[in-house]
Amino acid sequence: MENLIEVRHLKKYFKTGGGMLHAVDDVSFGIPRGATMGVVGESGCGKSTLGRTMIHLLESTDGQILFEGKDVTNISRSELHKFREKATIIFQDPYSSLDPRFTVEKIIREPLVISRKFSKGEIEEKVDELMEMVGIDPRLAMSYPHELDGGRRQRIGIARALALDPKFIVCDEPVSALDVSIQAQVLNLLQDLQKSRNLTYMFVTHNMSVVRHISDHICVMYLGQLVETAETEEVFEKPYHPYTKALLSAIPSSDIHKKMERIQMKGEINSPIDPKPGCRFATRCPFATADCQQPQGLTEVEKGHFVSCCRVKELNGLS
Amino acid sequence: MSTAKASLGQKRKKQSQFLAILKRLGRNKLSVAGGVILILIILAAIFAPVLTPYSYDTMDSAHILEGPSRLHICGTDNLGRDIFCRLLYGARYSLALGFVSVIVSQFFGVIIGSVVGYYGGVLEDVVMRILDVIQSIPGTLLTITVATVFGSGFGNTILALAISHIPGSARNTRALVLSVRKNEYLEAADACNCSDVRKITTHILPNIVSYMIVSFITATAYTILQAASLSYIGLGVQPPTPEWGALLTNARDYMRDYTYMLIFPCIFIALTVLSLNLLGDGLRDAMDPKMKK
Repeated sequence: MENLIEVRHLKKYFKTGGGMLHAVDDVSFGIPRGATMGVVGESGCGKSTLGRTMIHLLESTDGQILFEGKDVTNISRSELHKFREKATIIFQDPYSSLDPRFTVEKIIREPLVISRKFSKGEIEEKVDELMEMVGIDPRLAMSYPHELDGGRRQRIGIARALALDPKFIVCDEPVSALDVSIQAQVLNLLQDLQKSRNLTYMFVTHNMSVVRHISDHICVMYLGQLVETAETEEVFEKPYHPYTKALLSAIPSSDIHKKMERIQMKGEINSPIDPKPGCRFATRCPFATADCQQPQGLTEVEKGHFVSCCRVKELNGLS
Repeated sequence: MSTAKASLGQKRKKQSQFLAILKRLGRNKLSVAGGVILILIILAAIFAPVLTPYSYDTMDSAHILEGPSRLHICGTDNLGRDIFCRLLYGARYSLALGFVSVIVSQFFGVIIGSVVGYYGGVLEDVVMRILDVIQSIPGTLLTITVATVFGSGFGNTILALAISHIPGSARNTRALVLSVRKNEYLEAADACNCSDVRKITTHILPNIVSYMIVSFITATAYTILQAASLSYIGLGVQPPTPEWGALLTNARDYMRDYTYMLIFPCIFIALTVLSLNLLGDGLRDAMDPKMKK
């Protein structure tokens, strides 16, 4: 299937006092139209930065972003505005992502007003429609965000993101700040919307169960780099990278008879500031050898299953 | 659905932020008292000609240095002028000095502070260091310096007070802008193509306006004091203009034997400053939409 959005060798470095912080370092992948790409990894691995860079909330340092086949890496202001109508974001924290001085209705209306595409009447109509679509009671239109619970607030964030009929949405941990009971509701809402409006999601999270539930493909990130990517069940059934294995072994199971074999990682996480070439996981990897100091690249070990590890074949007995 | 729409319409009409703020302010007895006193002083200043039969610069050599009496509620000064009358007219000058110079300084301070705080970078460094240099001179000394440069008089005093308050107000605004700039709702605004000007005016400033109003009111209180001290040392408004500080200057030579000459202007100054502060405190609480009560 054709990719809606694709990144090639995308890099995002931040200047810090100590040197360049490699938040996203040479990441390439594509998301097919209508699919959900789950991006997982521990805190600080650059998941959110990747999402924000893809939709131009942060400017990329190097690399390419392709949207609907067109290069959108360096685009003019007017093109950027058009791009942002098609590619948007749902934030993690429904407390700080909604302006506390705006009413619900005003928050949802804002993108519509800024786009200058609609008349006043159309805007009112659209706001009502959006509120109904995400399941916010019309009587809450004049409430302020602080008067609502986290789930409702997140629904407002979703309504705002949907206002201009986008094609691609970066979901930046949209449920991790919510109660478990509300998480399922919001996830179902996101899935329903995806079906009815043919949306493409990039779903950033550190919650492995959520990502398994919602994604078609998964990218596993470690310190700014992609270490493994494949279809969701592939990753869960046959994780090849030592880091993915460790990550999956940390998922708690509700089955009391199942034996948990937790892979404990030793050592410190590397500094993302001016990292050395070579595998970034090597310092914590139980299988690290001298070869791991060489720069690594993604290799296709099975069809559609890419792993960035020089020892992947010998460790997993693949030919 | 139609009923839902109707209730939505009703709700939309009901919204009035201003009334809600007034309502919340009304529950705070102290700030209501402050507001009432302030309004009374302002009204007294406006209707001074009605409230007193005298004019502020008519001298009456038959009644010099008379204590409070039925004819002269606050007594008369060394030239036989009615002190109460001078206080009422003086309120016009003192309040105008306070409010106008703070409005001017806040206007420029907010523009400088929000632009600098929002954009940051080299611009911020340069502007903030310049402000640092200006602020390294103690406030009153700075006002005195500026007042000396421009000379005395009503307009120049406003100018001196305004200029010396711009750095503080810019610094204050910048700090407030920085405190909201990192919020995700600004990123969300970015994501829907919100322009910088719109972000500053609709997202940043409304979120700090409650703090700015408080600082506006307390700055006014402070400026009224400063204006009084400027006139007291002879740099501000010149006689025979009945500014409150000027009244104090006049009373200085007589305060041992005719204390009332000093006490009444002091009461007016203190009441004004106190009521401004009480009102400012109450407003800060009332303007926060998170205050439920």
